[in-house]
Amino acid sequence: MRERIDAYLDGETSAAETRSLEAHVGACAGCARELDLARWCRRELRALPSFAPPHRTVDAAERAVSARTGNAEVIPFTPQRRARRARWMTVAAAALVIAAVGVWRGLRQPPAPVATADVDPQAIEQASRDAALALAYVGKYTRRTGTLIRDDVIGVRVVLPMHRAFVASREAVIDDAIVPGVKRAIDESGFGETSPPRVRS
Amino acid sequence: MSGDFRSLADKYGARVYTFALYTLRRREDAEDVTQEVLVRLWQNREAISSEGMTAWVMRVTRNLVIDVARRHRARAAVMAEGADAQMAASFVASHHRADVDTQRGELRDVLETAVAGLEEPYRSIVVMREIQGFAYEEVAEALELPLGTVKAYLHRARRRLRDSVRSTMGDSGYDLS
Repeated sequence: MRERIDAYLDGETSAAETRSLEAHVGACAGCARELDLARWCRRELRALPSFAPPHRTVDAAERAVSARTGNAEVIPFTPQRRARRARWMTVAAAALVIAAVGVWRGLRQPPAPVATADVDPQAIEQASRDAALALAYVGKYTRRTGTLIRDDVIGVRVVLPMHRAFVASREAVIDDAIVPGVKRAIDESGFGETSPPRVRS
Repeated sequence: MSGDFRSLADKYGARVYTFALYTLRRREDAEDVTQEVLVRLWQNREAISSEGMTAWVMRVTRNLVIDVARRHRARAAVMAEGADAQMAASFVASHHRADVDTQRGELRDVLETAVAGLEEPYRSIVVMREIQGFAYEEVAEALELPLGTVKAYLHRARRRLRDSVRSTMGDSGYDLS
Protein backbone atom coordinates (compact mmCIF):
# COMPACT_ATOMS: atom_id res chain seq x y z
CA MET A 1 0.00 0.00 0.00
CA ARG A 2 2.66 2.51 1.05
CA GLU A 3 4.38 2.11 -2.30
CA ARG A 4 1.24 3.22 -4.09
CA ILE A 5 0.25 6.17 -1.95
CA ASP A 6 1.74 8.76 -4.29
CA ALA A 7 0.24 7.12 -7.34
CA TYR A 8 -3.10 7.14 -5.53
CA LEU A 9 -2.82 10.83 -4.63
CA ASP A 10 -1.73 11.61 -8.20
CA GLY A 11 -4.82 9.86 -9.51
CA GLU A 12 -2.73 7.34 -11.37
CA THR A 13 -4.27 4.20 -9.93
CA SER A 14 -6.93 2.24 -11.74
CA ALA A 15 -10.48 2.21 -10.44
CA ALA A 16 -10.04 -1.28 -9.04
CA GLU A 17 -6.74 -0.40 -7.36
CA THR A 18 -8.25 2.77 -5.93
CA ARG A 19 -11.10 0.84 -4.35
CA SER A 20 -8.68 -1.70 -2.96
CA LEU A 21 -6.42 0.99 -1.50
CA GLU A 22 -9.27 2.87 0.10
CA ALA A 23 -10.59 -0.30 1.63
CA HIS A 24 -7.16 -1.09 3.04
CA VAL A 25 -6.66 2.39 4.47
CA GLY A 26 -10.03 2.14 6.18
CA ALA A 27 -8.84 -0.91 8.06
CA CYS A 28 -5.14 -0.15 8.62
CA ALA A 29 -4.23 2.65 11.02
CA GLY A 30 -0.58 2.69 9.91
CA CYS A 31 -1.40 3.16 6.25
CA ALA A 32 -4.07 5.72 7.10
CA ARG A 33 -1.47 7.69 8.97
CA GLU A 34 0.97 7.39 6.07
CA LEU A 35 -1.70 8.70 3.74
CA ASP A 36 -2.34 11.63 6.06
CA LEU A 37 1.39 12.34 6.19
CA ALA A 38 1.68 12.23 2.39
CA ARG A 39 -1.25 14.61 2.01
CA TRP A 40 0.16 16.91 4.66
CA CYS A 41 3.62 17.01 3.04
CA ARG A 42 2.16 17.95 -0.33
CA ARG A 43 -0.09 20.61 1.17
CA GLU A 44 2.66 22.18 3.22
CA LEU A 45 5.22 22.17 0.42
CA ARG A 46 2.76 23.85 -1.92
CA ALA A 47 2.02 26.41 0.77
CA LEU A 48 5.66 27.46 0.99
CA PRO A 49 6.09 30.95 -0.38
CA SER A 50 7.81 32.22 -3.47
CA PHE A 51 10.18 35.13 -3.11
CA ALA A 52 10.75 38.04 -5.41
CA PRO A 53 14.42 38.97 -5.76
CA PRO A 54 15.49 42.10 -3.91
CA HIS A 55 15.44 45.28 -5.95
CA ARG A 56 19.19 45.57 -5.57
CA THR A 57 19.62 42.24 -7.38
CA VAL A 58 17.58 43.33 -10.39
CA ASP A 59 19.28 46.71 -10.39
CA ALA A 60 22.69 45.04 -10.36
CA ALA A 61 21.68 42.75 -13.22
CA GLU A 62 20.54 45.73 -15.25
CA ARG A 63 23.81 47.52 -14.64
CA ALA A 64 25.73 44.39 -15.61
CA VAL A 65 23.71 44.09 -18.79
CA SER A 66 24.59 47.65 -19.69
CA ALA A 67 28.25 46.99 -19.07
CA ARG A 68 28.55 43.55 -20.65
CA THR A 69 26.66 44.49 -23.78
CA GLY A 70 28.64 47.66 -24.08
CA ASN A 71 29.61 47.01 -27.67
CA ALA A 72 26.06 46.36 -28.72
CA GLU A 73 24.64 49.20 -26.75
CA VAL A 74 27.12 51.85 -27.74
CA ILE A 75 25.31 54.73 -29.28
CA PRO A 76 26.14 55.19 -32.97
CA PHE A 77 28.70 57.82 -33.63
CA THR A 78 26.46 60.30 -35.38
CA PRO A 79 26.77 64.08 -35.37
CA GLN A 80 23.94 64.22 -32.89
CA ARG A 81 25.88 61.92 -30.57
CA ARG A 82 29.15 63.59 -31.23
CA ALA A 83 28.25 66.43 -28.90
CA ARG A 84 27.44 63.97 -26.15
CA ARG A 85 30.71 62.16 -26.71
CA ALA A 86 32.56 65.44 -26.75
CA ARG A 87 30.94 66.38 -23.44
CA TRP A 88 31.99 63.06 -21.98
CA MET A 89 35.51 63.50 -23.22
CA THR A 90 35.57 66.97 -21.73
CA VAL A 91 34.51 65.58 -18.41
CA ALA A 92 37.05 62.79 -18.68
CA ALA A 93 39.74 65.31 -19.50
CA ALA A 94 38.67 67.42 -16.55
CA ALA A 95 38.84 64.41 -14.29
CA LEU A 96 42.31 63.63 -15.57
CA VAL A 97 43.43 67.18 -14.87
CA ILE A 98 42.15 66.95 -11.33
CA ALA A 99 43.72 63.54 -10.92
CA ALA A 100 47.03 64.78 -12.26
CA VAL A 101 47.04 67.80 -9.99
CA GLY A 102 45.96 65.68 -7.08
CA VAL A 103 48.59 63.06 -7.68
CA TRP A 104 51.24 65.72 -8.20
CA ARG A 105 50.33 67.37 -4.94
CA GLY A 106 50.11 64.08 -3.20
CA LEU A 107 53.52 63.07 -4.45
CA ARG A 108 55.01 66.29 -3.19
CA GLN A 109 53.96 65.42 0.32
CA PRO A 110 55.75 62.80 2.36
CA PRO A 111 54.05 59.49 1.67
CA ALA A 112 51.80 58.51 4.49
CA PRO A 113 50.93 54.85 4.90
CA VAL A 114 47.28 54.29 4.13
CA ALA A 115 45.75 50.98 5.00
CA THR A 116 43.39 49.46 2.50
CA ALA A 117 40.75 49.55 5.17
CA ASP A 118 40.96 53.35 5.14
CA VAL A 119 39.67 53.50 1.59
CA ASP A 120 35.95 53.75 1.29
CA PRO A 121 34.87 50.57 -0.53
CA GLN A 122 31.95 52.49 -2.01
CA ALA A 123 34.38 54.89 -3.62
CA ILE A 124 36.21 52.01 -5.26
CA GLU A 125 32.99 50.46 -6.40
CA GLN A 126 31.75 53.76 -7.76
CA ALA A 127 35.01 54.38 -9.60
CA SER A 128 34.90 50.87 -11.06
CA ARG A 129 31.37 51.38 -12.33
CA ASP A 130 32.20 54.75 -13.80
CA ALA A 131 35.24 53.40 -15.57
CA ALA A 132 33.36 50.37 -16.87
CA LEU A 133 30.60 52.52 -18.22
CA ALA A 134 33.05 54.95 -19.72
CA LEU A 135 34.83 52.10 -21.49
CA ALA A 136 31.54 50.64 -22.59
CA TYR A 137 30.70 53.97 -24.07
CA VAL A 138 33.72 53.94 -26.33
CA GLY A 139 33.21 50.32 -27.22
CA LYS A 140 36.25 48.89 -25.54
CA TYR A 141 34.67 47.12 -22.63
CA THR A 142 34.35 43.36 -22.32
CA ARG A 143 33.61 41.23 -19.32
CA ARG A 144 37.21 40.10 -19.09
CA THR A 145 38.69 43.54 -19.34
CA GLY A 146 36.10 44.74 -16.86
CA THR A 147 37.17 42.16 -14.34
CA LEU A 148 40.84 42.94 -14.84
CA ILE A 149 40.20 46.63 -14.54
CA ARG A 150 38.17 46.27 -11.41
CA ASP A 151 40.42 43.85 -9.60
CA ASP A 152 43.82 44.93 -10.74
CA VAL A 153 44.09 48.26 -12.43
CA ILE A 154 41.41 50.30 -10.78
CA GLY A 155 41.36 48.86 -7.32
CA VAL A 156 45.04 48.48 -6.69
CA ARG A 157 46.88 50.73 -9.10
CA VAL A 158 44.56 53.62 -9.62
CA VAL A 159 41.90 54.07 -7.01
CA LEU A 160 44.10 53.49 -4.02
CA PRO A 161 46.91 55.94 -4.91
CA MET A 162 44.46 58.43 -6.33
CA HIS A 163 42.41 58.25 -3.22
CA ARG A 164 45.48 58.97 -1.15
CA ALA A 165 46.32 61.91 -3.33
CA PHE A 166 42.82 63.29 -3.28
CA VAL A 167 42.55 62.97 0.46
CA ALA A 168 45.78 64.89 0.77
CA SER A 169 44.98 67.63 -1.68
CA ARG A 170 41.23 67.75 -2.22
CA GLU A 171 40.63 71.02 -0.47
CA ALA A 172 43.42 72.79 -2.29
CA VAL A 173 42.45 71.45 -5.70
CA ILE A 174 38.78 72.10 -5.49
CA ASP A 175 38.46 75.16 -3.32
CA ASP A 176 41.42 77.40 -3.84
CA ALA A 177 40.19 78.42 -7.29
CA ILE A 178 43.15 76.88 -9.07
CA VAL A 179 40.86 75.11 -11.48
CA PRO A 180 37.42 76.66 -11.09
CA GLY A 181 36.52 75.92 -14.68
CA VAL A 182 37.21 72.25 -14.19
CA LYS A 183 35.15 72.12 -11.04
CA ARG A 184 32.27 73.84 -12.81
CA ALA A 185 32.45 71.38 -15.71
CA ILE A 186 32.28 68.47 -13.31
CA ASP A 187 29.38 69.95 -11.39
CA GLU A 188 27.43 70.56 -14.56
CA SER A 189 28.10 67.14 -15.99
CA GLY A 190 27.01 65.18 -12.96
CA PHE A 191 30.28 63.27 -13.08
CA GLY A 192 30.97 61.74 -9.71
CA GLU A 193 27.37 61.61 -8.57
CA THR A 194 26.29 58.67 -6.49
CA SER A 195 24.55 56.99 -9.42
CA PRO A 196 26.77 56.26 -12.38
CA PRO A 197 25.89 58.04 -15.62
CA ARG A 198 23.83 55.86 -17.90
CA VAL A 199 25.45 54.59 -21.04
CA ARG A 200 22.19 54.47 -22.86
CA SER A 201 18.69 55.49 -21.85
CA MET B 1 16.23 48.71 -22.93
CA SER B 2 15.29 49.32 -19.32
CA GLY B 3 11.58 48.58 -19.75
CA ASP B 4 12.18 45.36 -21.67
CA PHE B 5 14.75 44.18 -19.18
CA ARG B 6 12.45 44.92 -16.26
CA SER B 7 9.68 43.04 -17.98
CA LEU B 8 11.82 39.92 -18.28
CA ALA B 9 13.03 40.33 -14.71
CA ASP B 10 9.45 40.64 -13.46
CA LYS B 11 8.43 37.52 -15.34
CA TYR B 12 11.27 35.22 -14.35
CA GLY B 13 13.02 36.80 -11.39
CA ALA B 14 10.85 35.27 -8.68
CA ARG B 15 11.07 31.77 -10.16
CA VAL B 16 14.83 31.97 -10.35
CA TYR B 17 15.30 33.52 -6.94
CA THR B 18 12.87 31.16 -5.22
CA PHE B 19 14.54 28.11 -6.72
CA ALA B 20 18.00 29.36 -5.82
CA LEU B 21 16.89 30.23 -2.32
CA TYR B 22 15.42 26.82 -1.54
CA THR B 23 18.27 24.90 -3.11
CA LEU B 24 21.28 26.98 -2.04
CA ARG B 25 19.78 28.21 1.22
CA ARG B 26 21.94 31.29 1.31
CA ARG B 27 20.39 34.60 0.42
CA GLU B 28 23.63 36.06 -0.94
CA ASP B 29 24.21 33.09 -3.22
CA ALA B 30 20.62 33.17 -4.41
CA GLU B 31 20.97 36.84 -5.28
CA ASP B 32 24.19 36.20 -7.20
CA VAL B 33 22.60 33.39 -9.18
CA THR B 34 19.52 35.46 -9.92
CA GLN B 35 21.60 38.36 -11.14
CA GLU B 36 23.65 36.14 -13.45
CA VAL B 37 20.58 34.36 -14.84
CA LEU B 38 18.86 37.65 -15.61
CA VAL B 39 21.95 38.89 -17.42
CA ARG B 40 22.27 35.71 -19.47
CA LEU B 41 18.57 35.72 -20.21
CA TRP B 42 18.82 39.23 -21.56
CA GLN B 43 21.86 38.41 -23.65
CA ASN B 44 20.23 35.31 -25.15
CA ARG B 45 16.64 36.48 -25.32
CA GLU B 46 16.53 36.56 -29.08
CA ALA B 47 17.97 33.06 -29.45
CA ILE B 48 15.42 31.41 -27.14
CA SER B 49 11.95 30.54 -28.30
CA SER B 50 9.21 32.01 -26.13
CA GLU B 51 7.76 28.58 -25.38
CA GLY B 52 11.15 27.26 -24.30
CA MET B 53 12.15 30.25 -22.24
CA THR B 54 10.97 28.99 -18.86
CA ALA B 55 12.82 25.71 -19.28
CA TRP B 56 15.91 27.58 -20.46
CA VAL B 57 15.79 29.89 -17.48
CA MET B 58 15.37 27.08 -14.98
CA ARG B 59 18.10 24.99 -16.63
CA VAL B 60 20.56 27.86 -16.46
CA THR B 61 19.49 28.56 -12.90
CA ARG B 62 20.07 25.01 -11.81
CA ASN B 63 23.43 24.83 -13.55
CA LEU B 64 24.54 27.97 -11.79
CA VAL B 65 23.24 26.66 -8.49
CA ILE B 66 25.33 23.54 -8.99
CA ASP B 67 28.36 25.69 -9.84
CA VAL B 68 27.90 27.74 -6.70
CA ALA B 69 27.49 24.59 -4.64
CA ARG B 70 30.71 23.23 -6.09
CA ARG B 71 32.53 26.41 -5.22
CA HIS B 72 31.33 26.00 -1.69
CA ARG B 73 32.22 22.34 -1.66
CA ALA B 74 33.36 22.22 1.91
CA ARG B 75 30.20 23.86 3.11
CA ALA B 76 28.11 21.74 0.77
CA ALA B 77 29.67 18.62 2.17
CA VAL B 78 28.58 19.64 5.61
CA MET B 79 25.14 20.48 4.32
CA ALA B 80 24.80 17.13 2.62
CA GLU B 81 25.18 15.55 6.00
CA GLY B 82 22.42 17.75 7.26
CA ALA B 83 24.55 19.44 9.86
CA ASP B 84 23.26 22.91 9.15
CA ALA B 85 20.03 22.03 7.48
CA GLN B 86 18.16 23.24 10.51
CA MET B 87 19.80 26.62 10.22
CA ALA B 88 18.95 26.76 6.54
CA ALA B 89 15.37 25.82 7.16
CA SER B 90 15.11 28.45 9.83
CA PHE B 91 16.33 31.01 7.35
CA VAL B 92 13.54 30.17 4.95
CA ALA B 93 11.11 29.93 7.80
CA SER B 94 12.02 33.37 9.04
CA HIS B 95 10.50 34.83 5.88
CA HIS B 96 6.97 33.79 6.52
CA ARG B 97 6.22 32.14 9.80
CA ALA B 98 5.23 34.70 12.36
CA ASP B 99 1.55 33.84 12.27
CA VAL B 100 1.32 30.09 12.68
CA ASP B 101 1.04 28.13 15.85
CA THR B 102 4.04 26.51 17.42
CA GLN B 103 3.39 22.90 16.53
CA ARG B 104 2.57 23.60 12.93
CA GLY B 105 5.62 25.79 12.66
CA GLU B 106 7.69 23.01 14.15
CA LEU B 107 6.34 20.51 11.63
CA ARG B 108 7.05 22.87 8.77
CA ASP B 109 10.57 23.32 10.02
CA VAL B 110 10.98 19.58 9.96
CA LEU B 111 9.66 19.40 6.42
CA GLU B 112 11.85 22.21 5.14
CA THR B 113 14.83 20.64 6.83
CA ALA B 114 14.01 17.40 5.08
CA VAL B 115 13.86 19.17 1.71
CA ALA B 116 17.15 20.88 2.44
CA GLY B 117 18.70 17.51 3.24
CA LEU B 118 17.74 15.89 -0.07
CA GLU B 119 20.48 15.21 -2.56
CA GLU B 120 20.41 16.28 -6.19
CA PRO B 121 18.46 15.88 -8.33
CA TYR B 122 15.77 15.06 -5.79
CA ARG B 123 15.95 18.47 -4.19
CA SER B 124 15.63 20.34 -7.48
CA ILE B 125 12.71 18.18 -8.50
CA VAL B 126 10.91 18.69 -5.19
CA VAL B 127 11.50 22.43 -5.23
CA MET B 128 10.36 22.84 -8.83
CA ARG B 129 7.43 20.46 -8.72
CA GLU B 130 6.15 20.57 -5.16
CA ILE B 131 7.04 24.08 -4.02
CA GLN B 132 7.03 26.05 -7.26
CA GLY B 133 4.31 24.06 -8.99
CA PHE B 134 6.02 23.43 -12.31
CA ALA B 135 4.51 20.79 -14.58
CA TYR B 136 6.30 17.47 -14.87
CA GLU B 137 7.17 18.28 -18.46
CA GLU B 138 8.72 21.59 -17.47
CA VAL B 139 10.79 19.93 -14.76
CA ALA B 140 11.95 17.26 -17.18
CA GLU B 141 12.91 19.80 -19.81
CA ALA B 142 14.71 22.07 -17.38
CA LEU B 143 16.64 19.24 -15.75
CA GLU B 144 17.18 17.45 -19.06
CA LEU B 145 15.78 14.23 -17.69
CA PRO B 146 13.23 11.86 -19.20
CA LEU B 147 9.71 12.41 -17.95
CA GLY B 148 9.52 8.96 -16.43
CA THR B 149 12.77 9.53 -14.58
CA VAL B 150 11.46 12.76 -13.09
CA LYS B 151 8.35 10.99 -11.84
CA ALA B 152 10.37 8.14 -10.41
CA TYR B 153 12.75 10.54 -8.65
CA LEU B 154 9.89 12.57 -7.29
CA HIS B 155 8.25 9.44 -5.95
CA ARG B 156 11.49 8.52 -4.23
CA ALA B 157 11.98 12.03 -2.91
CA ARG B 158 8.49 12.13 -1.41
CA ARG B 159 9.13 8.90 0.43
CA ARG B 160 12.40 10.25 1.76
CA LEU B 161 10.65 13.39 2.94
CA ARG B 162 8.02 11.37 4.77
CA ASP B 163 10.68 9.17 6.31
CA SER B 164 12.53 12.25 7.54
CA VAL B 165 9.43 13.81 9.02
CA ARG B 166 8.38 10.56 10.64
CA SER B 167 11.78 9.86 12.10
CA THR B 168 12.06 13.37 13.46
CA MET B 169 8.58 13.68 14.88
CA GLY B 170 8.01 10.08 15.84
CA ASP B 171 5.26 7.85 14.58
CA SER B 172 2.59 9.49 16.64
CA GLY B 173 1.88 12.48 18.78
CA TYR B 174 1.73 15.11 16.09
CA ASP B 175 -1.30 16.65 14.53
CA LEU B 176 -1.32 16.90 10.75
CA SER B 177 -4.62 18.69 10.50
